[in-house]
Amino acid sequence: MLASLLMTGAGWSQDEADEPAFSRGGADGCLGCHRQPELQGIFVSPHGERGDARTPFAQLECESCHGAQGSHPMGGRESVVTFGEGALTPVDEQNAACLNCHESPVGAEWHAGEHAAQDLSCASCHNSHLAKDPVLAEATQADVCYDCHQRQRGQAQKPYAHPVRFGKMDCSSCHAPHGSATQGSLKRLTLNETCYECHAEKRGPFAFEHQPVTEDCALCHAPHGSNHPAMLTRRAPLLCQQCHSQAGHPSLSLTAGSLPGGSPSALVLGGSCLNCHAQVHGSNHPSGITQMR
Amino acid sequence: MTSSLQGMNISLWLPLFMISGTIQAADTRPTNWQCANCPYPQGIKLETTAGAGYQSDDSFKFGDYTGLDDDGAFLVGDFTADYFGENALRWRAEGQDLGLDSRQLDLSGGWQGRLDLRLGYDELPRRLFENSQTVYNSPGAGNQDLPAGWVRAPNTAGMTALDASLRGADAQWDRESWNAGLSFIQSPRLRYDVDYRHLERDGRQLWAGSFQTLATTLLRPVDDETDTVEAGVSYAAETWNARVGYMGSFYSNDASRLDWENPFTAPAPGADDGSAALEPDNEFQQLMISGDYHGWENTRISGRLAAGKMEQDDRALPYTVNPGLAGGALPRTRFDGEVDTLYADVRVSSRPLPKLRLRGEFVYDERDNDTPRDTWDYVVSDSIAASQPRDNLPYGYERYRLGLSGNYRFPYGTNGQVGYQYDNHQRDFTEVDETEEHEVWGELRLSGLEAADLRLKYSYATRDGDDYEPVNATQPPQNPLLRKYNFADRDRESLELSVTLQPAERLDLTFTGLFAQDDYDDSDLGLDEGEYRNVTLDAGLQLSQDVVLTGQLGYDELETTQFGSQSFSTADWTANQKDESWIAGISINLPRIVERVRGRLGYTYIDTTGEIENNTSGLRSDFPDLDTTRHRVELDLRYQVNDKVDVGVAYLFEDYDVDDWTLDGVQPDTVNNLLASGANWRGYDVNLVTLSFTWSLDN
Repeated sequence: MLASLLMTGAGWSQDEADEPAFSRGGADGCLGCHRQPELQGIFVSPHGERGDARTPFAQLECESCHGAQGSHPMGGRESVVTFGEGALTPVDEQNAACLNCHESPVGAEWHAGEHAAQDLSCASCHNSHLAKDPVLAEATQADVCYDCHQRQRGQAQKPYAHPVRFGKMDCSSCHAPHGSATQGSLKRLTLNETCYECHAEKRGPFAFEHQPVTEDCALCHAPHGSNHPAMLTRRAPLLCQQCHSQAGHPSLSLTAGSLPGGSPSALVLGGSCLNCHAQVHGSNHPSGITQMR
Repeated sequence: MTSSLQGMNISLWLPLFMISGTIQAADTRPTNWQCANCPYPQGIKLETTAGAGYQSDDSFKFGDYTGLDDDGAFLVGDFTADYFGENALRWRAEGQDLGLDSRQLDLSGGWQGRLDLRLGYDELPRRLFENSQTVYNSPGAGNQDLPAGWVRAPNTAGMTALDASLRGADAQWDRESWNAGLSFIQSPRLRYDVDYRHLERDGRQLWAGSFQTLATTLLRPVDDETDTVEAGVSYAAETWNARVGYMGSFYSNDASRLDWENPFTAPAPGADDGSAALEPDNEFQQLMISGDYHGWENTRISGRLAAGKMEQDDRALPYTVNPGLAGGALPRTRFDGEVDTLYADVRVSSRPLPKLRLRGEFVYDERDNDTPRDTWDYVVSDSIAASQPRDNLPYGYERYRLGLSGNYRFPYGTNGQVGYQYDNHQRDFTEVDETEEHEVWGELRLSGLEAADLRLKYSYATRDGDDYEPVNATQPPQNPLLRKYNFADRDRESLELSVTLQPAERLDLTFTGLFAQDDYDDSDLGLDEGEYRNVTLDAGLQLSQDVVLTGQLGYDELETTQFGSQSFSTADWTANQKDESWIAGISINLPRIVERVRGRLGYTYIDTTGEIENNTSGLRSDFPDLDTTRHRVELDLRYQVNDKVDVGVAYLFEDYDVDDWTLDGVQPDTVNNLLASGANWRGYDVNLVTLSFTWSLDN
């Protein structure tokens, strides 16, 4: 009923001087001045589809998001809603404009998410005027994220890293940027469930499990990139020796004398501990208790 | 009332649309709005790039993930095709890297707002080692035999047929993935989604098999598939949202067993053959409900509840393939592995005052491992019958987290946050039954300064556990002084800083820093201390109206200290490990170099170093540095022939150097008791040139 009240024909003129009114001509008027090519991509994007009743161009066109133009065309002091860095419109109002349509499913997670806590606006990451929003494309998303996540940008360049720098993964392959209760805002409910999405062979359950593997892949791996093969946090055997020192197989002191030219040792070279304990993610062999089978 | 509504600004309008529903809003569009100047697309819009490239050198490392592992010519192919029809019918087809083994194809579209369809295909090449060698007849097969004439010996030096038997066998695999999805939007409130994904890997990778202390590097098969199905129904009411979803992931391995002949003289009677179980088939199914309520004026609550089950029931292999060690009867012929997962979270945010925001969250996560616990009369590496049987330990845990935080907006762009978090973690079959961690943190943001923004965050956390008691089922026992770092007592501090400056009108600078420290003061053996430092500097210099020069510099360092005991008593050695990396990059986009010519120039540099220092009874031993260095130069130039056609030349140079003592100089017979692959990480210098044409079609 409110909507019908709002949309009576007389409603489109400004009859109270204190409040801005919607324009008489819609986007035609806006495009008279705002002819920049970089704004025209919106007509190719889903927002520009007037056949979809949910979109701005099926509704109030530019003013669906930017608000009633009021005296803006005449240089009036009323401001339209503006978005992004440096915008005069408060972040909450910017986001309300987006969440009006994108409430489900974004709003449910956004309200308590880390990006909301940092007072980010939707336009901090999204560009709705481009035909292809860079943050929604696998090949370009990471560069948007790296604007704030500089540390992760450097880690992704390390010699052993997920293929983000090749455009074969993006940040949202693992993360839920709109928010999640998982630490690190992961897209699955736990870190391991996130990893298993591509590494299901590590999931098990195995007959003989390796305890930290079942708990948290990041106990041994650095998922944003590492100096070490397999994205390990540390180099074996030291990584393994941080948790293992068994009677009969104690934690030996291994020195540079174990390298070629000295007394080459299988405890250090090649796969190090994995030369024997190859099934470090878990063994499904009846004799696999020490993860050698 | 009508007049008061007429003049509402947009922030007040929006909730009214939300209440009334967006479909009704569309009906209320003023009839005189024609948008004659709106360039609504119609028909087909196509952009195709085709061409050829040439690569100067072979390199597996350069080809890893890219498919550019061979020198010579390759094809360049990318396209984006859009179709815009009536009634919101839209299709988009995209293809990337079509001439390479990293190609990707996507098709998406449908009747926007009613039915969305998605199809995709993607290839991912993994190129690991081009220089690995093996003596086996069928590298990468599930059954690997030694060549005819092989001479067994107790060590690699005695393997007289080794040189004649070695053959190159690279370690690589390819992954293909297909996906399909459908979303049906029945109404603005009700929506159905179904997605399916199929992953398939095929190839081989390095693996090691051993007999007692004699190890052999093999090329194991990689031949598996993962099918994932997700489906959900979402409902959006005026004041609440809800979703019910299902996820099923089904993993199938066609190479779940590996048999190989022992190239060494059997260290025990009959230990001539080995057999290992590779990853078993498994599946995970999960049901989840989630939702939120936002009907209160200043408070919102959301939550998720999920229950899942992980299963695997592969048939058990025999204890050994050693005919002299038949072993006892297996306690079960199938593993019947089963883990129930339960997850729940509730999150609340509230704004009791205009400038005060409060958040609270509770997260519960349980891994209830119902895998049967049996006693296994096992055999050590197909060589020795174990002196005593052992039980498998079906690890499980229960953990929950409570977090509270408050955020207040002070005047002059100042924002302060404080928070507290409590973590409780209970584990089965581990040395510590329960750990608790308390964390407090505070954050200050200043955005009201002229030409500068600042963010500073400090956090402190302390973790304490129950008494550390050896697990009796672990035999022989671990050193009782050892503390495993994932449940050892720990103090953790971190300081995070971010400053954004505009020192000159055309210059932007951003500095970030993170300094963190972990102390395991109660650990006599194991990880003792860890320090992490990371700093970055970003700069952007606007050279002209549309030309910006950007640069990045970063430094990352992780340093740890650990104690060990080779005498199985108190600490008798210490190791310090320090990993550093320097990263630098600079790029410039030139939208108009001369008339019709645009370009981009970029350079990226990364240098990583790993230092390991060992001190044993006062004697210091330094390992050589683990080094990698990569330089990458990229240049793109494009000439606009006309409105429809571009021609482009791109040049890429990448230089990669690596020193890694774990593999460098390790030939198949370098180590007496390890028949190695001889593989190492190889550096490269690759020059790559492409010439391509881009056609645009817009009818």
